[in-house]
Amino acid sequence: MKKDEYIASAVSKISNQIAKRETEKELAAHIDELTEFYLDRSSSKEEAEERAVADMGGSELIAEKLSQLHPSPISTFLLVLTVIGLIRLLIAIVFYFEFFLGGIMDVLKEIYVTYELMTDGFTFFCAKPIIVLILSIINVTAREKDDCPSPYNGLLAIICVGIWVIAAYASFQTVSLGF
Amino acid sequence: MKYSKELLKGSTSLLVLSVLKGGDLYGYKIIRELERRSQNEFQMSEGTLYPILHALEKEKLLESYWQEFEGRNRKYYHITKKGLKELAEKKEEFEAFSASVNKVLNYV
Repeated sequence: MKKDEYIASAVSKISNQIAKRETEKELAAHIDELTEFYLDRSSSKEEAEERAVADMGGSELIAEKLSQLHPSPISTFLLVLTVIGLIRLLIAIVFYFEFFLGGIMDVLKEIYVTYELMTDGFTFFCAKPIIVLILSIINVTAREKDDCPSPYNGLLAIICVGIWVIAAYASFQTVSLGF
Repeated sequence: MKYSKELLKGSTSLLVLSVLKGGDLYGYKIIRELERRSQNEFQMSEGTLYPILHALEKEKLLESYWQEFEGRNRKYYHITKKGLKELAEKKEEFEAFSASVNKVLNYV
């Protein structure tokens, strides 16, 4: 296997683009050092490089381990937003049916309404999910052609957008009903 | 002597931290230093090293930086204070474990 082939294979599953570029440079530097070591013991530079790449071990194994260590920041961001969206949705639903729970809800209502008024209403809550969706699309389309594109980020973005829109609509209704 | 994967698995982080305690090194040099110190008993494959280094960096036990040397960019690793503390704890644990194993193996 050639050096470039090996490196491409070893970093193929890293979804974090910054970590991917850094690791490419790091592995290339290591293979160059090994190649130099084997140069005196080989008949050509190509042979030295082949021996160096062979010393690196299986690229699939290293790819698997590195992918687990470098998750995409977009995935983490979307997960956090989804959780926040779910919590917001839950609060909006609970406020809508607040007569089941009584006193504690009055306190939470006050905090929630204040938060809503500070964050400038329905338009603001819709803009954020759209930004998240755009970021997710950029992340998915930025992948290399040979990589397996993951639908995970796109699907998570759609779920996140959906939850935020429902939560935003519910909270808008809650505020407009004068709670 | 070739050691089993199970024996090595628990010790590789300890070995890497120990090598870096002596000073900042880059990947290739870490492997060579490990071979030198162990008199070629430990010959870590290059592909095994980098996931370990990245995992230790993620846990903030190591920090990394790029440095140019003779027209070549190298990524050096530096053990942090947290890494030194972890190394001391792991070393103590390993020594105690090793002593206990020896007691059982050498029991008369």
